Amino acid sequence: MNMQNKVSVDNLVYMEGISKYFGEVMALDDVYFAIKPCEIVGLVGDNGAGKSTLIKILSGLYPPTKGVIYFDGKKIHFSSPRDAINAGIETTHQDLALVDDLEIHRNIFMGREPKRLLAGFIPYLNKQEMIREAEKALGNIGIHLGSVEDIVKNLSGGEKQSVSIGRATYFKAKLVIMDEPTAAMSLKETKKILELMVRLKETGSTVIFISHNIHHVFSIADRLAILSRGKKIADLKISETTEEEVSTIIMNN
Amino acid sequence: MAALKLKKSFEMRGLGVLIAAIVLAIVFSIANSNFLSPYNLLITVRMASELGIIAAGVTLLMVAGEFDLSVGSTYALCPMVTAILYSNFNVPIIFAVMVGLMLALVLGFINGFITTKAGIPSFITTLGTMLIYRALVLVIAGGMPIKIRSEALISDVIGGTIGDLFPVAIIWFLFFIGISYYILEHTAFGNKIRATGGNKEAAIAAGINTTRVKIITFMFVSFLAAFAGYVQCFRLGSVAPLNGRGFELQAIAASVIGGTSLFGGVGTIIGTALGVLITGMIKNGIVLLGVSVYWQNGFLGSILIAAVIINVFISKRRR
Repeated sequence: MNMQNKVSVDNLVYMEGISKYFGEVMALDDVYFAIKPCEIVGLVGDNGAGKSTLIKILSGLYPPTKGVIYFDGKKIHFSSPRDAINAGIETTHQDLALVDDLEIHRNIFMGREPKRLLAGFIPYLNKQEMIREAEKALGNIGIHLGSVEDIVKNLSGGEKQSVSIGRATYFKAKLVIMDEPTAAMSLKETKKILELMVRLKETGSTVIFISHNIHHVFSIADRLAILSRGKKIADLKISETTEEEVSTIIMNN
Repeated sequence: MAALKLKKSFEMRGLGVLIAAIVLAIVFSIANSNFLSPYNLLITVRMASELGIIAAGVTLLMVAGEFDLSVGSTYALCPMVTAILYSNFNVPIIFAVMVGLMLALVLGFINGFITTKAGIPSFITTLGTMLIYRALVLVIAGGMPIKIRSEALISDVIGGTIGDLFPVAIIWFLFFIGISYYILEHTAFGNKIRATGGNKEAAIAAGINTTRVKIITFMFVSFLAAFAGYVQCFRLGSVAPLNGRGFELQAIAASVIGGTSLFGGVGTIIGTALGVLITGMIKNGIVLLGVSVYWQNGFLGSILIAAVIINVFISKRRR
């Protein structure tokens, strides 16, 4: 496990000896996780394996109990998601993605709303830009919703995920983390999102793809890591393994 | 199709309170032809102004997912401090007012700080500070009203009249309604308020500092409550220690009649302005109708319940 290179120019992310306890409950135990630039890494494992906890640490939502994170060559300490976003990490969370009562465009730009100045000094929300760019963000991923001025509450589960993915991919982040992005999606929508992740990689982003669907991971990822009960139990190149092997590893733990 | 339906029901939600306001106006004007006279309308709006200034802030705070029950006490405490500094210590009135307004920001900060840092419901925090701030008013005033008669310009600017008739209070009401509308609908901060109250976890994950958003909004509400207190005390020329009792719930009632959700994330300033006008019309109309004023809050209560039932009905149909 500890044989991996220390932080090097090769790695965009290097998580070193990450442990996380919630009170007495151990969610992660001494996890080492390295990600190279412009690769798609699948993160798989059963429910409760620690996948979401690991990426919540990387996206600044939780501090690790133990361990160090290097990002883009620097040791970093995220005290809030704001820090992670500023560093260039975008995340679509499975459970806390959107504000239901807020319009789609306001969701996409929440936290970094575009402004303009009225009469030279009065800050004013630039709604035209928000609407135009929200349409672009969704267009980029090949999704077209009726109007971006509708509130999110009325969207289907798959549409909500699309909005969340549209937001995570719009800002040209160095690292895009997708936690079960296609869970509520139709086959057609899923195909679009898988293609999107490949396109992100081609345009210079790095992607962490968390999924229960090993077949999806195999169709686009370069590498995959398997978590089980808070430990990383395998880290494999896709070209050197098979779906059967990975399924067997997950089942047997 | 869905989008069209949605837009319609949104308009309906705003429309409901508008229709209620119009129906009330019609009923009262049929009952008493003086109701729609310009002078009476002016009085109605003037009576609603002080509450309206507070309710604008209370709406922002409710959209951010929090309550402030201490506004009525702040409404009395800050002018009282000013009155004592001015009358007993000969502090120039303008400085005495500035001290009071700064105190308001501190009081709001205390509300926000305790609520966010201790992680307790603001209903409890501000129920506590409501009692504490009120106790402070009674202690510093010795339980007695204090005169604050000043010929200074500031007293006319905040609580005077234009000509002999038009109360400046109405202009301040419109001004703060305008400011609050601008903040909620047209600023980045307004979007952060809506996100914070709508889904705090999502807001945090999107990089919003929800603690900061809430504390600033608490301070804004306190500032408005104190300002409304100045409008009243400069109009009357004195501050009574029990001023503003009940305002905390009336402000929430006006806000809710205007469509603000008790659960955060939803509310409009226009709705609140109409809600405030409805409460003003009830107060005024009851007098014109010759009904005992004891009924006043009874009417307000009935309208509050009806408004919420209608809102629940509309939002159920929306799904």
